[in-house]
Amino acid sequence: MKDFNFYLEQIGEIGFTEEIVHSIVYVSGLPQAKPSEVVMFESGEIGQVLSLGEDLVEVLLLTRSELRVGTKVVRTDELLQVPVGESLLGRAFDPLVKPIDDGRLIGGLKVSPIDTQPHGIIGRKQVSESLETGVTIVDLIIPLAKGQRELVIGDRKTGKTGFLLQVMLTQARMGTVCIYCVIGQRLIDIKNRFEFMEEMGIKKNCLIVATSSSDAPGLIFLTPYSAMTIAEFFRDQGKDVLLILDDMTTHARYYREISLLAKRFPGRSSYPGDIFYTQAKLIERAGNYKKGSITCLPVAEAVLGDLSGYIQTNLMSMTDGHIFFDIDLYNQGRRPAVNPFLSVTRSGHQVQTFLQQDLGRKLTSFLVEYEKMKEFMHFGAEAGETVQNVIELGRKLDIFFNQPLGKTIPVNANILLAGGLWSGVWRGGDDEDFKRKIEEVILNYETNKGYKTKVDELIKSCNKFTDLVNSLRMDSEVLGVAQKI
Amino acid sequence: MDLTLTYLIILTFVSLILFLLALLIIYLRLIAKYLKLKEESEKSLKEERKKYEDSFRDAQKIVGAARIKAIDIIKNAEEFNKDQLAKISEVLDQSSQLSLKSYQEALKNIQDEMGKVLLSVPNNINNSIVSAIQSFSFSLQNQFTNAQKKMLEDFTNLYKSSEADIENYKRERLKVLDSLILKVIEEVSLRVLGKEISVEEHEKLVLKALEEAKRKNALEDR
Amino acid sequence: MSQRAKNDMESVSESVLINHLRTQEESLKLLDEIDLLLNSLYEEKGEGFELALKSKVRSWVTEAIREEMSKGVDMEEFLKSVKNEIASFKELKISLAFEPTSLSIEKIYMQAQGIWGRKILLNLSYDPNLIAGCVIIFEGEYRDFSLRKAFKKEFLQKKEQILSLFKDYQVSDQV
Repeated sequence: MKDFNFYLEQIGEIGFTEEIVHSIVYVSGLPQAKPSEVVMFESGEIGQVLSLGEDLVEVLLLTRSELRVGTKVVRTDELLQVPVGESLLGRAFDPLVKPIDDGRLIGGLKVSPIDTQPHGIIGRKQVSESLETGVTIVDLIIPLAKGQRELVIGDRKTGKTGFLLQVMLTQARMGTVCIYCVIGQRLIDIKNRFEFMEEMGIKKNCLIVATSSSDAPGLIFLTPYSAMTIAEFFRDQGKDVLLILDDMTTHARYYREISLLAKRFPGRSSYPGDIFYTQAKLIERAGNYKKGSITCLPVAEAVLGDLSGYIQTNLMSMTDGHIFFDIDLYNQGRRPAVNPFLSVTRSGHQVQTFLQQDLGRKLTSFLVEYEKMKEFMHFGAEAGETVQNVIELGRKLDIFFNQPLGKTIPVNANILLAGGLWSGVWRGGDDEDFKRKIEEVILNYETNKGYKTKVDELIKSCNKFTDLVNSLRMDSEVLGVAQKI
Repeated sequence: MDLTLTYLIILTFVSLILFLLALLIIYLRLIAKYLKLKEESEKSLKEERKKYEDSFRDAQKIVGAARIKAIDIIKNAEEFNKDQLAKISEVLDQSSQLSLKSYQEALKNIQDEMGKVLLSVPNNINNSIVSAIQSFSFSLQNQFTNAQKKMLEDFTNLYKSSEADIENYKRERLKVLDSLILKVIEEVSLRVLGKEISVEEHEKLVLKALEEAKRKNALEDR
Repeated sequence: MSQRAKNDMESVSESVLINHLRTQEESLKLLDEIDLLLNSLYEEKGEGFELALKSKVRSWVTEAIREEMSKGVDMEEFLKSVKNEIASFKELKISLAFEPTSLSIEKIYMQAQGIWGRKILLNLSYDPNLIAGCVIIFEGEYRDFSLRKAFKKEFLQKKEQILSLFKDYQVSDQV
C-alpha cells in the first residue's frame, strides 16, 4: 500500500472526518467512494467503507487510533486485499498479515482480495476422501470428509479447543495445511496455540491468523475472511486445507457491535439483519474443489447446552453437520465430551468404506441400546445375562472412547480395537488391563510397520464389520501380538 | 567489533604472562647451575692450595733433614780443619741455597701453573654461563620480537577493520546529514520563494488556477 | 409554490445580507447574529429585537434588516429563510500561499462565483508550503494548482547538484 499523498495525487478526491463513533468514522467528501473500498487517513490508518450516505461516507476503522475530526481521508480505489504466500506457514499474524510472533517481516507474498464470491457449482466436486481426526468417537461414529463444513458446538470449557488441536495435529502430520483462526480471544490463548504447534513439531504445515479482544472491532470482524483467503490460496496450489474458525459466535458479537454503532436497525437478539449472509458467504467459500479442498470447522459457543440460539441455528444450517460437546458428559468425566446422539454428519458417511459404515451403524445402535439399559438399571432391577453383557460392553466402549488431550489414534487402529471389543476377546478382564491392551495395540500399530501392514490388509479384506469380528474371533493373534511387547 | 578486540588483547596478555613465567623458570634453573659450578670451582681451588701447601711443607722438611745430616757428617769428620769446614759449609750453604733457589723457582713455576689452571676454571665456567645467558637472552629477545610483531599485526588488522567500520559509519552519518541539509535547504527555499513573490503575483496565480479549473471542468458541481 | 413564497425567496437571495457574504467564516458569524435576533424577537415584551438590533449585531446587518423591515416583511420568516439560504450554499476550500487582503478575497470570490454560481462560500486557509498558486477542494474533489509539486519534482531531480553547490559555498566561505 502506498502513502497518503500518492493516493491524493492519483485519485484527486479528498474527504474530511466529520464524526467519530468508536470504530465508525463518518467522512464528508469522497464523492466516488465504493462500498468495501479501502480508505486511508492522513495519519496512516486504514479503514473500509461500510456504507454510503447522502452526505457522509461511513468508514469502519481497522486500527485502534486517536483520530481527530477534520483529519483528511483519501480513497485508494482498491478493495481490501491480504498478502498470501508459502512463507506464511509456521507463522502467527493478524488479518492484515502483520506478524505477532517474533516480529520478523514476512516476505515473498502476493495479494489476494479478502472478500470474494464463493465458487459456483462448476469447479466444485463431491466429497470423496475422509478426513481423519485422530479422535476415536468422531472417526467411528461422526466421520468427517475433506471439504466438509462441520460445526463444533458446545458450552464453554467442554474441550472443544482440545478436540480441534487433536484434529490439527493428525492432519498436519499427514501433510494437510492447517489454519487456526483465533477471533477476538485472549492473547494468552493465542500464545498457547502457537506453543502447541511448536511443541508438536507441526509448525511447518500450520499457521495462525489471530486477533485478540483488545484489537479494533473492524480488524476482529475481518479475521475469518483473511483466514479463508489464505486457505483459498493453498487450495489453489492443489493442497488440502483444514480451516478452524474459533469462534463464530464471538465474530457475530463483534459484528453486532459494529452494526449497532453504525445505527443499523437491530434484529433478533440485537443482531443486524444481515448476520446470516455475513457468515454464510464466508462458510460457503469452503468445500471440495477440483484443485484442492478446504475443510472448515467453525466453532460456536452454546449456553447451557442450548442449541436453539440464533447464531447457533444459523451456523448449523450453513454447515454440513455439527459435533456437539455436552456439558453433562464433560462433568461426568467423559473426554472428549462428544454427544454422539446429538451430533450429525451429513457428508462424512458417503466417503467411508462399507466396513466403516457398518461399524458406525452398529456402534450407534448399540449406544442407543446401552443408554436404554443404563436407564433400566437405574430402577435397581435385576439384570439378566444379556443386559449384563450389554452393560459390560458399553462400559468398555466408554473406556475405549475416552481419549486424553494431545493423543491421536489412527482410524484403522480404532477399527481393529472396535472389532476386538465386539469379538469378546477382552471380555471379563479388568479395566486397567483393558486400557493397557488398547495402548499396546495402538503403540504397535504406530511403531511396527509389519504389524501395521497386517492390520491394514485385514481391514481392507473385510467388507462388513461382522467379517472383521469373525476373523478376530478365529485368530485373535493380531490383537495378542501386542501383548508380547 | 570491540568485543573481538578486547578478547584478542586479553589473549595476547595471557600468552605473554605464560611466556614470562617460562622464562623465569629457565632463568632460575640457570642461576642454580651457576651457583653449583661456582661451588665446585671453589672446592677444587681449595684442594689445589692444600696440595701446594703440603708439597711445600714436604720440601721444607726434606731440605731441613738434608742440612742436619750434612752437619752431622761434618761434625763426625774431625780431620778437616775449620777452613775446610768453613769452605765445605760455605759450599754446602751455596749448594743448598742454589737448590733452595731452584726449588723455590720450581715451586713458583708450579704455583704460577696452578694459579693459571685455577684461574682458567672459573673462566670456563664463566664462559659457559655467559654463553648460556647470552643465548637465552637472544632467544628471549627473538620471542619478544616475534610476539611484538604478531601483536602489531593483529592490532593493525583490527585497526584496519575498525577503520572500515568507521568509514561506513561516517558514510551513513554523512548521508543522514546530507538529507538533513537538503531538508533544511528545501524548507528555506520554500519560505524564501513564497516571500519573494508579491501579493499581486500571488493573486494572479490564484485567479489563473481558478480559470484552469474551469477550463478543465475539473471541479464540476454535482 | 405560491407566488408570494417565490417572491420571498427571491427577496432573500437578493438580500444585502446574503450578498455581503464571501467566506464561510462570515457566514458562521452572520448565522450566530441571526440566531441571536431570532431568540430576541419575543423577549423584553417585544422590545428585545430592537435592543438587539441596536447593540448586539454589526451595523451593516442592522441596516440590511431595517431595509427589509421597511418592506414589511415578516421578520421571523425572513430570518429563517436567510438561514436556510445560507445552509444551501456550497463550500469552496482554497488553500493559499499568501495571506490575502480583503480586495484579494473579493477578486477570488468574483472569479469563483463566475464559475460555480452565486451559491458558494469561500473557506480560505494559509499554507506557506504551497509556494504559490493554490489548492482547490470542492465537493470532495481535490486539485493542486500550486508550485509545490513542481518545486518538489525539480528539487528531487537536482538534489545532488544543490548539495554540491552548498558544499562549495561552504568551502569558499571558510576560505
